[in-house]
Amino acid sequence: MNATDTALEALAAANRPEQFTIMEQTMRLLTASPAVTHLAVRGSFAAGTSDRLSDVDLVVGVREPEYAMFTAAHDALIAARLGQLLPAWPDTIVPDLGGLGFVHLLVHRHMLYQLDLYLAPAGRVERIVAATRGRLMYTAPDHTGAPEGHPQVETFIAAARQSPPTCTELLVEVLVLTWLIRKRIVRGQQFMAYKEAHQLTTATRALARTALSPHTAYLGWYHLETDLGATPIGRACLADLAELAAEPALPTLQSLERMLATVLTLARRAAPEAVEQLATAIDAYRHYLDLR
Amino acid sequence: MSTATGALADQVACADTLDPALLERVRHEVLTIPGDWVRGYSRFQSGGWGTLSLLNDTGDARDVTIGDAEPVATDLLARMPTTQALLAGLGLRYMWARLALLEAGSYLWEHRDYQEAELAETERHRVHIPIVTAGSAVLILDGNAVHLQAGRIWRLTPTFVHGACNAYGPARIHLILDCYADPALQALRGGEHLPEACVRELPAAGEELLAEHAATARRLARLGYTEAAEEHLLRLFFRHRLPEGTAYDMVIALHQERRDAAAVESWREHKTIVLGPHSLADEARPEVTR
Repeated sequence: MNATDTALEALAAANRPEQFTIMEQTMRLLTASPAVTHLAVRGSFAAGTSDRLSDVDLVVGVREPEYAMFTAAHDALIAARLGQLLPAWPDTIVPDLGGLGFVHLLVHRHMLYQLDLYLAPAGRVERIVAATRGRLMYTAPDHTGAPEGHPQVETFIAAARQSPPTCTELLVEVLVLTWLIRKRIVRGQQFMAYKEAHQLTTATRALARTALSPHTAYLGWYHLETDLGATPIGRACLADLAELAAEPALPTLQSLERMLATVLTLARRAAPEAVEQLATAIDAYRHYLDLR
Repeated sequence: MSTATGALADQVACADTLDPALLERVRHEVLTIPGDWVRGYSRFQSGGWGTLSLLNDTGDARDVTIGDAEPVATDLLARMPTTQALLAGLGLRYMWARLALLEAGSYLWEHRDYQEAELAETERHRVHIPIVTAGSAVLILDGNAVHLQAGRIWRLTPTFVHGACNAYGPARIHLILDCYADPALQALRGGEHLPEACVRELPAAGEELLAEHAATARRLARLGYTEAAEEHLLRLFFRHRLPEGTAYDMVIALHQERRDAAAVESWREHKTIVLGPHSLADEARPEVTR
């Protein structure tokens, strides 16, 4: 290596995207456990198409006997060691690859970053890595391979998927979606922004339904007016939802700011305890989102 | 703005306001100094707490372990004329003056200050002047989260058990002045009050909730994440109104359960160091983790 190469390498290291530091810290943290068998990077970093806004997308292989325990504890782990802003959002967007996905928003060096962890039973990791064109970064030295399919883990995963979201989880979902939409707008990905803005409205409706009509027989938009419209709070939430729906289909930073304000207004009406629980985190989230 | 009174105001209170233009000039000085913070007091914190001295016994800004002193201006303060004028204008008898950074996601665990024998005899207080702050940057005292708003001068009596955190950021920077009690300090304290808007009472934690947290910590430890388990428990002091030392007792109980005698002993010693000889007796507290 000549002097120019060395200088260039030093320059590249000095300008290394922060996501690599997050990746390093996360990998060092997770591999401290003998329960973790694999770590793989997927998404834009694996494909070589990342930018400074890209999320860090990891598949975490977990030994089947510890899978349920690891899933139950991982949010506390990320909160304690990686500067998590909000509780993890159980990812309902990620395709079903045989495990459970979680989205974490982390504060790192004065900015917000997204860390997606896909917790996979160890026996499934290699297939997931192949299917998602991921890159395997770590295999536990003592890992001898495990057969696919573990009845207790299958049952646990199925139950977790069917568990209805709480108001707090739905509030976190709308905050994560707002973060994603902002990223799309900044990148000029208008159709992804369009899709996710619709998801934001849908998640807000789910928040209103979960808080105000949890026992209804109806789903989605069907009978929403009759389910919510019987009380002043419900009618006010319907008006909030109408405001959201009237926003431009292709969001801008200005319309996104209005949407977030409307969502939080609705959340304060319908689920004040969830907002109170996250109040200081939401305050900081707005700072990092920087929609002004 | 309404004002809270009582025991909490003995521990922390707003003593005065600061001229906004002066604050902006001090803020400019503070935010443009080299950010080479000294990370001392490592076992008292989660990481993310750093200081630089402005007045100390050596004149070197990187000497940050506080103690009794007839302090002199450090090399750093010499480059901060507005801050120097602010300190002089307050007219207090300083023991030490520091800039203190508390980064996002940082915690200064439950503790008492001035516990060293040589510091315990003379009355002294701590003056906080927030330079930049965040909504989730609070002091925890007596089961309350107190946000020290910028634009005000705050007095803290740190011999009461307290902790500090900046859960979500952005970074908090305070000017922290350890001062001897004297007529100037007494005069500054003449207008003390505690604005209610700055105080949030933390929710109590029942045995069931604490048992859930102990179970989470146990899971983390079993998975091999022992430091995360400890940190999960130490953070309870910042989330719930707890009897003094409860978070440390839960860490000790965790290690007892793990049969890690060295960790039990180490945390017992640490608890005595950080809470001091005035700490409530262990038997006065309810059993919370089993």
